Amino acid sequence: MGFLAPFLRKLLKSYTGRIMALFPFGLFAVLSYLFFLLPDETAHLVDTGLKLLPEISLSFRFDGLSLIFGLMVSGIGGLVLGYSSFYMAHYSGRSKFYFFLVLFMGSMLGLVFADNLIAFFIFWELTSITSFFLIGFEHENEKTRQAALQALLLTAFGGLCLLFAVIMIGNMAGTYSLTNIYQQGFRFGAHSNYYLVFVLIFVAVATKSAQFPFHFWLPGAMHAPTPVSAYLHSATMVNAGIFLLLRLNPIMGGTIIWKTIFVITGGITMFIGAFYSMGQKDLKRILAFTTISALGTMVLLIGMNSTASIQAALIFFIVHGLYKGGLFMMTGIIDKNTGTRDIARLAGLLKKMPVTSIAAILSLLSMSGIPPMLGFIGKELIYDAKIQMPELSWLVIPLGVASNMIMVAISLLIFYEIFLQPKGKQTVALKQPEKTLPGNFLAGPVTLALVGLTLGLFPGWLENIMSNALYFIQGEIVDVHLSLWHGFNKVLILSIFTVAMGIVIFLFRKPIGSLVQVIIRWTDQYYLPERFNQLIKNYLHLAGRQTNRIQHGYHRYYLITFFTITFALVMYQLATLKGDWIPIYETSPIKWHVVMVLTFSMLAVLFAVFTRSRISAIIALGVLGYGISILYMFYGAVDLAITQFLVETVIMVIFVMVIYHLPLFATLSSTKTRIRDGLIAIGVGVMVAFLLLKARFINLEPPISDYFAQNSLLKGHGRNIVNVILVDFRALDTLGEITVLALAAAGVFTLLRLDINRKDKH
Amino acid sequence: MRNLILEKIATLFLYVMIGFALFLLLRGHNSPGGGFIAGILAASGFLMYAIVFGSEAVLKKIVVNPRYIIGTGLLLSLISAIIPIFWGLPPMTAIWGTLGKIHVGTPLLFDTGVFVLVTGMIISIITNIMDVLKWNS
Amino acid sequence: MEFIIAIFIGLLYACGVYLLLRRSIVKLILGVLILSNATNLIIFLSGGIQRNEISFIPEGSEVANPEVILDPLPQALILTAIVIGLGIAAYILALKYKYFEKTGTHDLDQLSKTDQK
Repeated sequence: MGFLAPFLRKLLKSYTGRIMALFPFGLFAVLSYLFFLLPDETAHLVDTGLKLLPEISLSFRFDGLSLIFGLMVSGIGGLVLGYSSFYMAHYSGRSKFYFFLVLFMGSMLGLVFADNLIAFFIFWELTSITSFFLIGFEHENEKTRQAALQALLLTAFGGLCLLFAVIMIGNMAGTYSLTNIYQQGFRFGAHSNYYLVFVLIFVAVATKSAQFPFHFWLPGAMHAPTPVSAYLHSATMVNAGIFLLLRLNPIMGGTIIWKTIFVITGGITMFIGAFYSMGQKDLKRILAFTTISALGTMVLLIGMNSTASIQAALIFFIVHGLYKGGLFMMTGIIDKNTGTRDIARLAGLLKKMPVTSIAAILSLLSMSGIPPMLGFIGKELIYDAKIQMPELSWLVIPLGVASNMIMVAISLLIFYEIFLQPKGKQTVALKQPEKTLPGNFLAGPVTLALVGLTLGLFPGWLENIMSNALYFIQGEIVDVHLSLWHGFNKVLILSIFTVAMGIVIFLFRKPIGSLVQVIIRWTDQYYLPERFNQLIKNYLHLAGRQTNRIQHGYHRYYLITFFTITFALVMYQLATLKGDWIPIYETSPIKWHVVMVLTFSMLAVLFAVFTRSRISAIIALGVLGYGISILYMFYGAVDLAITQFLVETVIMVIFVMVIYHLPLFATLSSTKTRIRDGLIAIGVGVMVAFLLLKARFINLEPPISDYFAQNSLLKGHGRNIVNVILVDFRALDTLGEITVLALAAAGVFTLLRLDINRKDKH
Repeated sequence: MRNLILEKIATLFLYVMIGFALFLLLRGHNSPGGGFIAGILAASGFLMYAIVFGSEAVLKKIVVNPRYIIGTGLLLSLISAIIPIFWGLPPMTAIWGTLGKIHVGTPLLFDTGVFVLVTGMIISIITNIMDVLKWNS
Repeated sequence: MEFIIAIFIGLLYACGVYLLLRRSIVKLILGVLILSNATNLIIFLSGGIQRNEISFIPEGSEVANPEVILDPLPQALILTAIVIGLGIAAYILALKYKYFEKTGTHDLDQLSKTDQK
């Protein structure tokens, strides 16, 4: 699904989200087609044949679960893209925004459909990285940067855990392909590694899906532009963790630890999220905390691991995606049109922005679980599942009911404060009448609300795909029946009770609100985001101090340390090696003319070391280069000799050009340091000489050169073996090397030109 | 201060060097030579030219910015590495064809890329240094 | 002969290291250049120099005789190393020039002070 990315840059020139929105919509159509075609209990495996690595094939798996997620991701993605073409109209860097948004969408789709666990991990990390750029989009703001960094650090940490877990699972199962693992019926609940993998997966899920105690990054992430928040919260990113749990449920689910940990974490998260949302004034923050609550609900349901609960989790995912996406987009519209998101300042919008308001009210109804919205069905299923869990119902039912009561109250509160006109509140002025807002801006929330309503009225459409998804999650065939009316039973009573209590909370909102405020203020001493930042800061400080101690910044002392330690280690190793120190046998005859050349070069080098004149030092260095060139020539390396000769000439010319502008040599060190350095230098020289003599007689592998010599003409069609190696046998090396050359040229260019350009600007 | 003889020699030297470099490049597969050597050789022609006429003259002579020459070289090498993929072979597999008696193949293209890149690199470095350090008296 | 060349390389290394340890940045560059030459020679020597025929496949035959020709692989390595050495040398020279222009000193110990934030 990453195919979206390369197309993107070309499209960016048109600067419109509307055109790009066609991509996800097209995908959505294809997926819907699959959605109705997909028979029960089968999964389509599409193998692209591409391999990231030999073990890791890029194949995609289409089954009920991935289709549900894929539909949500592409559908809401399309709406968000269309929506942002208006929302982002006055931002700079829109092309960057679209780039990351579509890349994010692509990686999320890849994650959902990936069949290979490693590929899954890669897409998982991609979503973390792209969401970092999206959250930090307004990077001029320091808080935004902090929030983005926090999100990245946490989710990347979770990603690391996921990588470990995935590799362990792959090792135990013998394959990384989900399809194969499912077919084997692989479960390792009793394996000794289970607990380790479980902890890793738990951390991955908790960080990604903002579960307690890692929940705090999500409210921070609302610094992102609103379309991004809508997308992050409704269908992507945070739901990746939920998806992972559902994917792994057949492999790891159902154990006692799975049930307890996830139920407890989910329960706590659910309650904390709902509770905190009551004390907020900013619409986006309210919604962010309700998202945390919803995520907690899903984790809780998956943790309970009964068929009913998984079914409820899936439906709730759809419900939540629909209403949360709609509500966030609505917030964006209100924010754009009135200039504030503070519920204390907004009022009377029902009259002024009827379309937005009605869509929002439908979404709010879904959120509080009132018929005829799909949210009602979701909530019924959740209650149903909870009641069916006798061993834990004492914990989950009160928590769940409490959270839902708060949801109802919050919905009422938003409805009352924003859309109606409470006494003593002034209506806010609109920047432009609703009618003049472009259609695709309003389309997002309206569509989502209508889908929620339609699905609520005709839930039967979801049954097929649900049973397919459930088959792969639970491993048994389940007939799914969804309907609005379940008959008069315990569940309905609970629902009615919830709504009633919600209204009660709403009526007493002032005292309860201030109570919540007090509690929040009290817990703010343990304000987690600050704590987290502090932790990171301390860590960096510690690292910095350690580094300063070791890295004192004097390059000579680094070198001295390096050379003496190398000298000691190598000499020790050489001394323990058996064999002659200086093997006389097996040497080639001495060529006296070469010795003469070498002696001459040696003298030149010594001259270069001790001379006071820069020009003579350079020329002496040139003599050394030419001497070595002659040595190559005498030993049959013609290409080398030519290259060395030419390069030496060019270097000398450049050297002279530059050195003309530099000061004369000066004696900077005392005689004592000179002697010390001289001793070190001689030591290194002796070490190298010994090492060479010794190394010449150690032959570990037969040289590969013989192969080159045999095949140069036959396979490489060249008689010059050296050149054939360069451009054919080892062309990848050469490619890397010429890249280095290009970089060196670029480096010289930037070094020399940087300041000139700056001066030009002023 | 212009020295006519020197200028003539430098111009001649440039063309001779480029011609010789091309010769070395083409025969490099069978005899001493090849992209690296040819590149430095051609560049040394330009080096001489730059010393005599100044770096601006070199830039005028080669028309395009040396940066683009470097890029072209890298691109040529990359293309030669990618071509085999279209034949379903792993990248960098050499593909050979014959033109009459001479073998022609992707390694030659690769070598040409190396040649172009090395030439461009040295020209770029020289002209930059000369320009910034004010050697164009 | 290997013995002599090894001593030669050892001497080059000694000179190179000595220059590296100087405080003057010009000498540092000289040291780097000497060391790169010496290292090329090490690679060359490691290929063996008893067989020192030119490493071509002679006209008329299809394969070269590995008993006679000089090992071609180290040659290929050194060839690129030499050219890269040129790039590096140019880069360090530019760096040095810029450094001198900015700080007005060529004493490396000054560098460690400007390096701190």
